[in-house]
Amino acid sequence: MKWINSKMVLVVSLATLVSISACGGGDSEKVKPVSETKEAVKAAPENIAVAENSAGAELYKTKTCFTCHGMDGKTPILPQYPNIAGQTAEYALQQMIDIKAGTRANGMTAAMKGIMHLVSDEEMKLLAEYVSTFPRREGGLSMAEDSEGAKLFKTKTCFTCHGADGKTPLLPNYPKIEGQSAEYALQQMQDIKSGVRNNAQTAAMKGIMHLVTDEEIATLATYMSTLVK
Amino acid sequence: MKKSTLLILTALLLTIMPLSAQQHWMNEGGERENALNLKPDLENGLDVFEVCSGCHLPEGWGSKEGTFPQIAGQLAPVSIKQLADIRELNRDNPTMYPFALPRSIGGPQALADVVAYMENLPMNPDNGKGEWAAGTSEFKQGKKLYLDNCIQCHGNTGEGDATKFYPLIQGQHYNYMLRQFEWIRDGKRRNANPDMVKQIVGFSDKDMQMVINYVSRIPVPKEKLAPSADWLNPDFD
Repeated sequence: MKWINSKMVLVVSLATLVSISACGGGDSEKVKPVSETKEAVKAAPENIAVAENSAGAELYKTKTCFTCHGMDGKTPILPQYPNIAGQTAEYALQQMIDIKAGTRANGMTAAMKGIMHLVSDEEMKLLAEYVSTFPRREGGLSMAEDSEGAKLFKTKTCFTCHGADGKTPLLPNYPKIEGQSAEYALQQMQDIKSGVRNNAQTAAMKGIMHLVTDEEIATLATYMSTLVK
Repeated sequence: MKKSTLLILTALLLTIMPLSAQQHWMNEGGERENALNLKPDLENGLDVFEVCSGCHLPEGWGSKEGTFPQIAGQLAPVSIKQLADIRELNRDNPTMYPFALPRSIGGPQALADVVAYMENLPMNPDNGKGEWAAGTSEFKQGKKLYLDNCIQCHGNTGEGDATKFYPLIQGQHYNYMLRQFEWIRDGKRRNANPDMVKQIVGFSDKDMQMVINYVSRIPVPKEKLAPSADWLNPDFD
């Protein structure tokens, strides 16, 4: 597969996107039209937050990570794609490994799996380290807030693992979740609850998800996406 | 099947088998025994307990529907054994695992401190119960099963035995106990006492529900209970 150059990968990734948009079933209305996607890709290089001449930075471009996650890691082209800026390196690496291997296959991961054969184990490590250095969105979660979301974040025990501010996870292989895209967060909570996503550390979360209703998941997803500065 | 394929398969099986879940009641020595011999510091116990309170609540009552067990009033050696087992990966609990790690709650002294604090907490007067009230045939059958199979270790009223690491089960939430019982019967709870596994091997699902229903309805002595189900732990003011 070495003959595939990065331009072709871009085409392949976009084609995957189109096919996902076309057969997304009940969720298809949430997928942005492809024209917007192309614009986002064009706009991405101007949005460089991390100017660095490292192997990680080079890989982030050549392996086409930026096309979906944004140059700064926090401007994904679709709301169903995650912010990855400043994620813990351990968590980011595990997800890359699992998406490549197919042990994580939920949500929109098919779009990423299509290119992961181009990324070696060593490159995944470099990318995870690189992405973990990106500045995250400003602010954090606040449990002092008098909102339904803040209450749920406490009573459903989310804070015990992800931290009261959403960015001090108990273990480095647990994700930071503050300021995450609401659509992405929603999908992950649903999929971990149903078992559709069952990779890596998700068993720890699945154990409590029966306590969280679909409505509460939606409230939590919105709450997590909105930061207090 | 070709001979070589068979050989490879056998080799593969032999490699995998030692990795599969093993039943193991207890390790000798280790931090469990260290912690048992340490003098507990209740003040530090409260500090450590803050980690636990995220899920088990400041009162240590867990959740009535049984996701989180009541740990208030549990016999200290029992809690030490379970904490040590979870962090040694001798009991599978992926949700709790990181909280049980030394990096979250500290070493043997912290174990001794926190379990002493937990043991001193008053218990929930309104634990989660099974569906069969006293007087129903299921309640009676559950009681019979309990008297025939359980009292030798867990005691007449489910008070447990600290010297043998047999847990206090009176006042525990029905769904939590049912889940653990099923896991012990079916070999999923790896640190189960082998004598118990043997004792309950013939229990049907209905037997299991009836006996746990009975246990969930054993009255907890008043002196162990909080004054009301609305009691809040004043240490968390």
